[in-house]
Amino acid sequence: MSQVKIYEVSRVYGSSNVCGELKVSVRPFSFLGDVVVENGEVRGVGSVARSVLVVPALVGSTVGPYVLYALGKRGLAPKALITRSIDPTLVAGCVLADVSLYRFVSGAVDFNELKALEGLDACVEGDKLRIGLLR
Amino acid sequence: MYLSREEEAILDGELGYPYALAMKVVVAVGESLKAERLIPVVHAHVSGVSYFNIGDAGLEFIESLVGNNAVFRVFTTANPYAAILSSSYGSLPDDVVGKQLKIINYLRSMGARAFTCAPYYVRRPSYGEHLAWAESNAVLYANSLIGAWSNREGGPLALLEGLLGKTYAAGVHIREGREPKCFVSVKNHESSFLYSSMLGLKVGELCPDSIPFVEGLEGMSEEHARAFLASFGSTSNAPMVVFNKLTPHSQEFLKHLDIVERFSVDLSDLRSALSDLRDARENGEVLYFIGCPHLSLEEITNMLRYLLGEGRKSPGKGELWLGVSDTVSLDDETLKHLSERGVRIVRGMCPVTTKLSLMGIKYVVTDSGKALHYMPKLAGVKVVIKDRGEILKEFLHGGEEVR
Repeated sequence: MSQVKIYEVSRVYGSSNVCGELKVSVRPFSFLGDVVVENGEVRGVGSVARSVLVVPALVGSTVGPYVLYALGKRGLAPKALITRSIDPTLVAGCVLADVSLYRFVSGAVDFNELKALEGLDACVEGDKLRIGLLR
Repeated sequence: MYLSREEEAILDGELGYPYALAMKVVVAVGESLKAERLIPVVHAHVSGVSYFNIGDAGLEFIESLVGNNAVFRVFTTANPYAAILSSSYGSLPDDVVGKQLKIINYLRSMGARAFTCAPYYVRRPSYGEHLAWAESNAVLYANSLIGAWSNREGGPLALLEGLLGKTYAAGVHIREGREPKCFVSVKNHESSFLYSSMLGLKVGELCPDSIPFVEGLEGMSEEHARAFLASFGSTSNAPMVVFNKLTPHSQEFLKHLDIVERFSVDLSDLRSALSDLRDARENGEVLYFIGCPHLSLEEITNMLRYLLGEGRKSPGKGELWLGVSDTVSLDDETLKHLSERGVRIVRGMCPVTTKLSLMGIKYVVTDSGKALHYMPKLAGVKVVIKDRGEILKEFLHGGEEVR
């Protein structure tokens, strides 16, 4: 059994228990231009459909919620989004797409370290994000 | 968050899908900001109207609301749409125009009363009124110059709040959320559209996330304060500026001042930055544009009187577009005279959120700091900034620079 990495998170919206494949964007991405609605692919990340998506922040406030909504309608939205920076439009987008939203408790999360774990199982249970071979 | 019985019922779907969805979103956003309750608003103002901003995903969302009989429950206005007009420049692609028209018609069918980025000229809020506005210059105007209360509601929030007639009690809807944390002292201010715009950009850079208290602009006209605020909103996320002696009860804020950062700006520093921008000219199609934010009735009247009185000295290059709300109407004869002189009244439209490069336009001459900030990215053009009077003179002289 390989090691399980644990990060502290706090729930902003949605379920307290979510599991999916870990997908990581090391850099903030924009919903305008970086996401293909038709196939749910994010530039530099690939398909984020039904994943637990981790990203430092999201940019593009006007269109963001609509793109999330369109992804949700097509069944291509992530199950959960975990980020360092929460703003009202991101919350709105997650509600529209039924995506659970969490904030990293620590501001010093190493996204390169997370990127190395991409593809593993990621489960949020209460205020813990566990990453590893969990299922 | 506490919800009344009526609000709970809406959340449970009593009024149908769009209202339940709206309640779910507004409550979630409110809870994320630790709001304890919802409050009624008297006027919602929707942003994200240009097809270039919201794309197919936004159109699809608005379509789903209209398909489920969504109607605004309070007075609601909307931002201007993309510039779908016939001009001497090339046209936008037919499919873009078609989709933009759909968005306009959907919002109208939901009850949107006007398309403008200056909703305060359509319905001027009263002091102390709660609003759900999404356009940054309008939010800043309402909070800073009128003393009304509105957060900067991005994305679909104002749209959904217009359906409910409610917003969450957080941010600048509560007194503590309106306290300035940044202090800026302005030296040697010269009151003009150009310098007010440039100063707004600068103060926004200094206070990107906090409300500034600004001294040194006492006596600035409302028009110039409006130009300042529109520019400030492009470089700062703050929903309000407290201008010493201009903002209602500005002295009250002084009593509770808890300043984190202090800055001083001398206008002579801005002058050198400006000379670089004035010379950034390009070859190719030029557009002269005044009206970001949309002009008041008084401004457009004065400008048209001047333009019609002077006449164009030579046919010259480029058109002059003047942006106003779609509620402003002019008689056909005046419009014809203006059109013959290369002047177009851009009613209900926003060139800043229009991909002008698709029309073959290379650069834009404007007096707006906000346009200067956004147009290179959103409109795909170079921008030259000048004072309003200089722009009109240059246009009348056929595109030759008049010093």
